Amino acid sequence: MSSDLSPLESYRIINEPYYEAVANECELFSAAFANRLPILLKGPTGCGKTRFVERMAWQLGRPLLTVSCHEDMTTSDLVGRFLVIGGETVWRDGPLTMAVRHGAICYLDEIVEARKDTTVVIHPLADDRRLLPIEKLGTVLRAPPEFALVISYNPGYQSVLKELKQSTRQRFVALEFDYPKTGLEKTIIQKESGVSFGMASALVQFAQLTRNLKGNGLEEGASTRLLVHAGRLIQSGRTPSEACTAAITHALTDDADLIAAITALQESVLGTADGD
Amino acid sequence: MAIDLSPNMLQLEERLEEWLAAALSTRRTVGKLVERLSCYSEEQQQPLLHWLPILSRINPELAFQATQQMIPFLATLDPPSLSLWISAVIDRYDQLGLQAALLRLREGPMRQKQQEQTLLLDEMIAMLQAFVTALGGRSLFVASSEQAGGYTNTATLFLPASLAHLPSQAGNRTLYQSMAAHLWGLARFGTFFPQLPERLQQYADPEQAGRLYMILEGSRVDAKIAPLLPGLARFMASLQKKRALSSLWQEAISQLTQPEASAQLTLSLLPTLLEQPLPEALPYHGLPLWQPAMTTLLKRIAEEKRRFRQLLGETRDSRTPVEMPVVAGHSFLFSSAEEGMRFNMSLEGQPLRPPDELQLLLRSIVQDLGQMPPEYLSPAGSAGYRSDAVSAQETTTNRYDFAPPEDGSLFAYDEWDYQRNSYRKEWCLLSERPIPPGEEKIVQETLHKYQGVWQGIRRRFEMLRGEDQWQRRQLFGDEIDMDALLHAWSDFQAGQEMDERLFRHRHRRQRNVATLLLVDMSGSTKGWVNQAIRESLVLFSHALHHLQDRFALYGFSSMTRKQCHLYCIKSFTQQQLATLEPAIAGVQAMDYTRMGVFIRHASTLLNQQEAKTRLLITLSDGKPEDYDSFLGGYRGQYAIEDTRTALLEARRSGIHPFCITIDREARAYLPRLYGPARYVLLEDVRQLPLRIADIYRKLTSR
Repeated sequence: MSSDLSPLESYRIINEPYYEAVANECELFSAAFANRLPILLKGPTGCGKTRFVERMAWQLGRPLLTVSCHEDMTTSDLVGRFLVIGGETVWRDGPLTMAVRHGAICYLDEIVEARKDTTVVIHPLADDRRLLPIEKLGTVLRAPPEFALVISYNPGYQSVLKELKQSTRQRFVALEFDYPKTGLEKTIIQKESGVSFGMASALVQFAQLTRNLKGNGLEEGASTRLLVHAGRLIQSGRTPSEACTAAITHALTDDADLIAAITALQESVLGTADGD
Repeated sequence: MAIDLSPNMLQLEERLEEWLAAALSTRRTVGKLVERLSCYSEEQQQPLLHWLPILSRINPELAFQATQQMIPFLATLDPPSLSLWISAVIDRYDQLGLQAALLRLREGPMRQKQQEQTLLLDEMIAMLQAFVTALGGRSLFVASSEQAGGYTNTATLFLPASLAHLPSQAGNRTLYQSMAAHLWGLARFGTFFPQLPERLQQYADPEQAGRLYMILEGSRVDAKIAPLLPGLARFMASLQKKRALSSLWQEAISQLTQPEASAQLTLSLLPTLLEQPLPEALPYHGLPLWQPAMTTLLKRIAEEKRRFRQLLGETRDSRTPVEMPVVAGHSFLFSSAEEGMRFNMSLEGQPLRPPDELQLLLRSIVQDLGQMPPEYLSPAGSAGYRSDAVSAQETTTNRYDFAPPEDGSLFAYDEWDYQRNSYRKEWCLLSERPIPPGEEKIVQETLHKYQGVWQGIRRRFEMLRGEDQWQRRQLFGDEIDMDALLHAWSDFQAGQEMDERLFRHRHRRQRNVATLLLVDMSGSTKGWVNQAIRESLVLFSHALHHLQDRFALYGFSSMTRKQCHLYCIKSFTQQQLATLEPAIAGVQAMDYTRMGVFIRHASTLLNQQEAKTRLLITLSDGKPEDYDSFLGGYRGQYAIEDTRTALLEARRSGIHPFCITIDREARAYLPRLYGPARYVLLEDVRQLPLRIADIYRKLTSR
């Protein structure tokens, strides 16, 4: 098995991604990686799952291949396909095959979005066999120890179709994520966007109010990611009111009454546009 | 007294007498009304004549009073405003009864926007409701206040119907928000607690002490809200500044705004301030009322205690294997996690994730009592362990005036009243329950009876099943299309342009249909029709099973608006065909057909299904009708219009409704009734079992 990393050099993460550990997730990830166990990240959108994987890829010194799963994704999109180049058929590895071949971390984001018959290709990779059969080439790849499979999903979608099959989920070490605790979230916003601690606190306070609306009109409250967006807009000179309206309120919903209510919450925490 | 009556007025008198008959007496005649009405043109009388029959069917007294109140407005008020007013009165009658409706009537038409800055609660209520929900804590409702100002009973925030206190609309909007936040704060930060009445009784003038308590609490709660909502707090502070305070009061308030101040501190301040004149009320504080909260609070505490212990019992039982003797050592421990009043829970040292309902209850209990009293922590339950016989009994007492289903759930739905042109709020109570199983061996019988045709039906359905197809000559795909490649290559060799579409792609023709079949179980289906319906269910379920489409079967029957029963024959999740037999055999002729509410609930069920196409098929044998004594009952045009509206709602939510009916007289009303849906009329009930599978096939194939 070749461990030549050159084709994946561009997938390597050079600078340390900013990540604040919420609990023991970094240690758990490292332990799972060392034991060649696949990892499942659960949690609401924008709470830091992807950032966490980037951080761990950096820490473990592995290239990271991220695949955003979608409904039309086929097995070929993951494993690879023949292309016709200059009158000849040429095999082109898919991201999963590339990761297996070169010992990288393959991250399948929002795995439930992919159809179930597509996701079964990861089954032999995700148990102790750690094999990737490539039907069209008639070969089987054995994953090197450096290969890791990470998948994520958001259990918040309460749709039956967007549940993970037991046969899939029971292969993984599951790490649960939620929005960071208040203090930590403030620090994250402050560091990521550069706003003052006071502004970061106000943003977090506002976000927590919107999270109370989850299930009462909103599917999700404002995520940490949205807060960072708002913070960055504020840092580039937009007023807090403008920034929150654009980055948070309108990103959350289209419902007129809810927009009015969220705007009211925003004003209640941050003051009105004219700074009363 | 003989008045010279024109023919028009004679007619008017006659009609009024007919409508108001039940409210008239020897001293109360329509003569006066007719006289007063005669001053208005016929056109001006029109709105009154429209509403009067409607009102008289609801309540004759209401109709009489309404006539008296409406007459002066006939000339000055435009018909839409008049309708708005009367609709509000009727709504009030539906919710709270005659007295409340009469009160609303006397209040007169909706407050007109006299001034530019006036803001109506009606415009704000949806927004304020979401606002209050977002603030967290126990879920609170927002409603319009019957009193002269805002107040809360710890379950509902009552806000004034309009605000014009500040010179701008924006200001009044913020004032509404402040009032909602403030009242929320009263309910959230421990202003109302069970011992409050006795503490206030200690004073010579408990009324005055109560008012004072509420005003002081207002300041304490404002200080608690301030760090949560700094923006709103700045607005509140700007209003507070305008209030002149004596030095004694200033002293008291500065104590109350300390972060650790509690309601106990407020009580301890009462004696010093009791003799002092009260300061001017803050515009967003509402009325200093504490009494409405107490009744709600005490009732809720008792109810929640019972429910909480019951839930603990259930949680414990689900954790303890039945064979294991229940040891007296079951101890639940709760600790509040730092944020947002979330609780952790442990049973005998094992951490548990509290069920959502428990989490909400905990929040509410701690909000009322400030802590979790130890006696709450002994679970009530079946295991006989410390199970409190009284509490077990209480949990089964009826909260409704009819029997709630034993193993189902209750849902409230609005109903459309075409005469009012509005919904009756939460008018129908629907219970979902499993169907009582029947004994007959209906499946084999039916399949045998329709043996010949069944084979055909089955084959046609199997052909519909989604199968993979190769799409050729694609730009992208799973495999190379060798034919295309050969062509392209020879083109290329011949010096022509090479076709780029060289792949073939596996295309899944997935059927993504969820179907809910709603069948009539009303009394009129007895006999032949019921037999046909059952046979149809057998064929339908077998056909769909072959097709592997998702489907659910429900039967319905109603007896007044409070007893709408939806019987589950097969839910979407149930997969086994074999277990269906007793359920289908259980389909029997029962009571009446209140279609609207069932269509609404079926739509709700369907919309929970993730499917590209959602199909709602109703199967009924006649006009919708129900047994109701109120205002003419659920029949005739009322029933047709409600059903039609329910179908419209279903269609708007993305469902395809389809109606099958076997009423020979249906031609007259069908187009109106099923206008929003597609429908088919079967002349002969015996066709039904054969046709239903075919209808479905046509509906869902391309």
